[in-house]
Amino acid sequence: MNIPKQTPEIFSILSKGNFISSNGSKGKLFDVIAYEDNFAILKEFFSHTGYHLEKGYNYFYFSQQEETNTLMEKKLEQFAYYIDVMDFFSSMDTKPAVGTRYRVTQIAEECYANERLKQKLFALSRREKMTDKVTEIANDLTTGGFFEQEDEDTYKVMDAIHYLEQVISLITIEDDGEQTNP
Amino acid sequence: MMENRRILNRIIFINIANTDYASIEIAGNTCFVGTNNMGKTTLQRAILFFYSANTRGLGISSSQKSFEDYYFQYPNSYIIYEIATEESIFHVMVYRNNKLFYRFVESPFVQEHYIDNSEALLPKQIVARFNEQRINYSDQIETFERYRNIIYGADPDKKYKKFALMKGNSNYHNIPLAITSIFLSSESTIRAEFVKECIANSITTKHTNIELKTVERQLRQFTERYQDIETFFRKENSQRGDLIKDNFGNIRNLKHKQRSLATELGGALKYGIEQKETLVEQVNAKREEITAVEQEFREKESIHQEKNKEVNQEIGALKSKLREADKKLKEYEDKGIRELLLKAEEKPQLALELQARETEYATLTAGFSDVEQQFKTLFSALENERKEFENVLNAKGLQLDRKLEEDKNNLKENYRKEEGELKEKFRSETDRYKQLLNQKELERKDADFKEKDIHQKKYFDKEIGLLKGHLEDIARHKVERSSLLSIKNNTIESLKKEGDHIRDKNKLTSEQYVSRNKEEVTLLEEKIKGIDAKLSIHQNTFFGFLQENYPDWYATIGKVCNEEILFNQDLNPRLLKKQIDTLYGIELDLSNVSVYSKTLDEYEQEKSMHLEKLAQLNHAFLEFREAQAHEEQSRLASIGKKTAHLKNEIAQLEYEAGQDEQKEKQYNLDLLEWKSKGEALREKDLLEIYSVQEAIKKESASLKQTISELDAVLSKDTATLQKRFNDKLVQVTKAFEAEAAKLKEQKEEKVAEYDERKANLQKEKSKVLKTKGVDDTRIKKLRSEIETTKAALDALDKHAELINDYRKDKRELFDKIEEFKKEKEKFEERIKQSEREFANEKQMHAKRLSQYESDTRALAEELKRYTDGLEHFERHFRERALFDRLRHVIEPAPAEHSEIGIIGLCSQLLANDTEYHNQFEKFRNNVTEFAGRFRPDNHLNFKINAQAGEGEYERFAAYLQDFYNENKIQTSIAEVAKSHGMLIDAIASKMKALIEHKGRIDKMVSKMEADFSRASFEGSRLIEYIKLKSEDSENKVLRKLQRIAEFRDQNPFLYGEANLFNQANKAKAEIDKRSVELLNDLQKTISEEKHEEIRVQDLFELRFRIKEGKNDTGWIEKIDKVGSTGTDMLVKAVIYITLLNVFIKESTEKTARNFFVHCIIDEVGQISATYLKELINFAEERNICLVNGLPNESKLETHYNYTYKFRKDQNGFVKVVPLLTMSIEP
Repeated sequence: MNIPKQTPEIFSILSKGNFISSNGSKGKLFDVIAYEDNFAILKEFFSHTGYHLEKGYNYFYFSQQEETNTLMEKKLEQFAYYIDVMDFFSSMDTKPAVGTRYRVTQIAEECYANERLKQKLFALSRREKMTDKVTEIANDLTTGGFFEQEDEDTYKVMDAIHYLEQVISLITIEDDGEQTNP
Repeated sequence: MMENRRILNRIIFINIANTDYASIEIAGNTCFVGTNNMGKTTLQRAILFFYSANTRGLGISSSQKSFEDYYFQYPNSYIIYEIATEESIFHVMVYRNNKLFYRFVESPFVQEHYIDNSEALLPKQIVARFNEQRINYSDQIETFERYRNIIYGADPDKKYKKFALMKGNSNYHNIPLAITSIFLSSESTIRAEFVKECIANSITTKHTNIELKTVERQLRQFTERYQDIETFFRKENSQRGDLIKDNFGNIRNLKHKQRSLATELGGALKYGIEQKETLVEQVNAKREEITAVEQEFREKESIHQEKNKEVNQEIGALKSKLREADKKLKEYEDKGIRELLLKAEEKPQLALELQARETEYATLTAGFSDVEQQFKTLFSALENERKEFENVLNAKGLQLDRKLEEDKNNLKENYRKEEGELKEKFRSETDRYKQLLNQKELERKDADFKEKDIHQKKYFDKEIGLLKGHLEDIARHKVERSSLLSIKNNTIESLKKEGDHIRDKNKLTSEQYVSRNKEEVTLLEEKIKGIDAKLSIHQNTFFGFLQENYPDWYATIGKVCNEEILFNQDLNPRLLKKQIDTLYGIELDLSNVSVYSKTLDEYEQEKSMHLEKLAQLNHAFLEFREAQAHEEQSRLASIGKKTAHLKNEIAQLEYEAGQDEQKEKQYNLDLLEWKSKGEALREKDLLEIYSVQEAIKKESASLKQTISELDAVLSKDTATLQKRFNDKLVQVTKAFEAEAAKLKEQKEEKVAEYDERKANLQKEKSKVLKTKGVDDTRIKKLRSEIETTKAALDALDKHAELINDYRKDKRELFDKIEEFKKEKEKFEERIKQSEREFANEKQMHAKRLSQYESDTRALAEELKRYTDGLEHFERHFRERALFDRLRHVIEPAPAEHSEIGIIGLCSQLLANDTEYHNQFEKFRNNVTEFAGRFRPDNHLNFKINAQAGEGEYERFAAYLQDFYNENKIQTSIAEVAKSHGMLIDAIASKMKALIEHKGRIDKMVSKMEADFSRASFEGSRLIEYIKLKSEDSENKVLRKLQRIAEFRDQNPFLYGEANLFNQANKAKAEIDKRSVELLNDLQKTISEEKHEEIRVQDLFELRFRIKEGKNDTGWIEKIDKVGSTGTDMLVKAVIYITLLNVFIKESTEKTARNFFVHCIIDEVGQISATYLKELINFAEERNICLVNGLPNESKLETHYNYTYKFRKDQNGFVKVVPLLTMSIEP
């Protein structure tokens, strides 16, 4: 089995819980994984490490079959936050479609003009300045691998955003009215 | 004193720095003694300035005053360098007039020329003095470069040749550099780096350095551009690009459709409004017509009822008459009217009887007197009676005749009357039927006309006409389109051919160019190879031998030997006798013969010329290729643009064709539907008319039948009437005849009775006459007869009134019963007829009404359709934003009928809008994703401003389409290929230029090594050896650069195609990939290593090894401490001097080493006298004079030719005082 020479680099990114998106700066690694049989080879290879290489629409990530409840809880909390952040970005004039470039100053300006957006942002970050708040949530999404910072002011939406969208679409709201969506 | 060498003899300071005047002779090893800050370094620097002529390379820190400002503080500040040569002494004056200038003066320095009354003169005055003294001097030398060229003998101007210190070659600048480097490296540690630098500086200029910043910038630009193109070619992006194209097409189609729908809606709205008004009027008109028809019918109905009422009244009257007749008849019957009538018939006879009996009785009773008379009277009475009787009878006969005639007449009259009535009755009946028949005939004709009309009528003519108009338009457009399509396709085809032609032509040109270029390159490479071959072996050839042992061989042997002999290694030359200019003993005058051979420098020069030409060729090739790619791309782009434009038009035409096809289908279907509707309607109408015709036919037939029947009945009835008349006539005649017979019989009976009575009377007369007596029985019988008759007459008189009444009733009623009945039947028939007629009228009215109602309903339905449409538009469309967006299209549209209808159009527009938004959402996402894959400032300009709205995305798509159509990527590919080629070429050629020095470095290192070995210090045996070796460089960037250069060498013609992204040729693709990887690696390494440039010294690593006494340093990179301080100093000085010596050898013509240079090494106080002596000797052997500095006086200074002490006078001016003026022989 000839594993690609970039395998250590791939592993070091994915094992940190990050994504490899086709439209990011690691696009070449995406190409490597997607090249011919490499995905199957790497999946097999990584399975020995306890990670399962998963494929999304134009992105790759690791999943783990067995996770502790604490970890799962933490992840769920994290997701609840991501959902709110996604809600924030989806309420903007420019929706977070793959490839969209957001400038922190531009988002902050829109928040100044849109009270509802501003409220959402205030609920998400406790920073003082508007731009700091925006930067904080953009950085959070960047840490999660859903955004990528291109320069000091610009963030780009990665293909991995599909992962968030998919998870959000999987959430069902019970009919009994008492149980509410997290 | 004349020197037999060329040397900087003296340096004179006039108003320089802290010195007012100092003249220091330095034509040998010189030592400056002085404490710190006394001006030692100032002087040393001034000496260095003589050699370097570079104000910036003197070790003056940036915080200090500049050289000019520190040294030349006054306009009459001068540094004068006096140079001694074999022939004479000249000097160079340096002065400042804003900037520094030089002047060479053909005389030794004379103080009076410069100073007058202890005051230094200004340059102009000095020049004036030179003029006065007729001293030659040069022009003002304005640049350091020019000065250096003159001093180092490299100035092309021959008049300056005499001012040269040495005959330097093109690398003479190594000497000042080495001197400077030695002076500046005042550190105690000698680093290999420094030596390397010196070596580098001595063999090269800064131009050979590879500026990594520039390379990195170019690499970054290349990598970014490459990455942009790579991103462009990514599968996802090309798919996305197609999607965007499709989306954009869909959006445009949807917009197009939206506009056409909006126009149609606008037209339909206006048409609807117009139609609504018209239809309202039509519906109202129809309703009025219905009302009028109903009114008319009602009037007819009342007339009909009125008419019937009268007839019914007539019938009622007749009925009551008949009833009365019946009743009376019954009453008369009950009263025995028949008998009474019979009796009344006998009344005249009874009256006659009575009269006769009464007369007889009177006669009988009157006396019997005259029997003759009596009898005569009797006879006459009898005769009278008979005559009376006959008269009565005649009267009766006459009456009978009259009655017969009367009866006949009555019968005839009755017959005629009845016949007339009958005929009248039938005529009216027949006339009515005939009238009906005529009417039917008219109706038939009308129906026939209608049938003909129906056959000829064009149903839904307007709709069909409209559809046909549309279809004709479509057909016309189809034809136009088809011709347009063929024209456009042909144009595309010819454009394609043109494109192919351009490509082929360019390919051919390119191939020709490449082959020409290759040939030239090969030629040059061969030449270079040849030169390299010569240079690599030259030391072992005749040429090398001559270089080494026969300095002026160029002028003699060089003219008679060709290169073959010169570079032959097997000649084993030996120098037997010098200065004999003969060829195998024959003397030749070679003054007019040109030199065959070239000098080493000339070879080098030729090689570098070739290399330069090679680089030029490569560059020209890249330029050509890029220019060609550009030109091809621009021409192809215009073709592509035209083609795309045409394709767009074709797509538009095809779209229109598709739309038209659909419309055509729809119109054909509609046409068919209208036609079939029309046919169905025609059939219905025909069926109706046929049924009407059939009914008319039937009715006509029935009417004819009825008429013929009536005729038959009339004939029959006439016949019956005739018969009845005949019968009655016969009956009357018979009755008459019977009456006549009865009268005849009665007459005969009476005549017989009269005759008998006459006979009886005769007899009686005779008897009376005979007897004259009277007979009473007779009288009695007469009496009773009279009484009976009278009683009978009385009874008749009694019933006379009843009979009269009867007769009157009979006359008035009973005899007219039949008439009444007939009359009644006639009236009843009339009523029936009237009812029938009215029923027809009613039927026709119902039919008309139903037609009107159906027409009204159809109109109302149509009206409702328009009203609903307009209402729908008002309620569900007008308030929408879509309407506002399309208002400008909807409102000006001209009125036109729409098949789809307003509601349909509104729904289609809304559906279209929804579809448009859905498509646009997809389109926007695709554009965002596409643009997002590129760098934000990608050179392909795939940038999107998300906030700029829909137009921005459409602009992007249009740009992208143009980009694809014009194949703009080719320009980028060509540019990238060029920058790739140029980068690799530049790196390779720079590396080549740099590596070129490797040989010289090795040579220099080996020379140094050799020089070191000569520094044996035999006397002291202090240093056993100093060794030097070079190793391969450890510089990572250099290695990467080398790999690129090697790659370039291995793949010299990889630039055949101007496309790094062409995957068709796998081997080439691999090479391209590899080269790009190499460049990427280099960029990465440059940014990691943070070197600013790659210099000659980076080509190698230098290692020292010094053994001093028992100390062996081993191979070290820096000489930090070798033994004691003195030893250390010595070793370093040895190294410095060796370096300088090697550089001088390298940089000057080998044949004329008749000059000395100064090596300025400060602070040599630590070296012991012995070693210093050895060092001085070591330097002297190499034609180098040492200029050293000592802080204090010691015995060391005795070893120098010149020793000066520095001190300051009372004015603070530094004074340089010679301590010893004679060199001391060791």
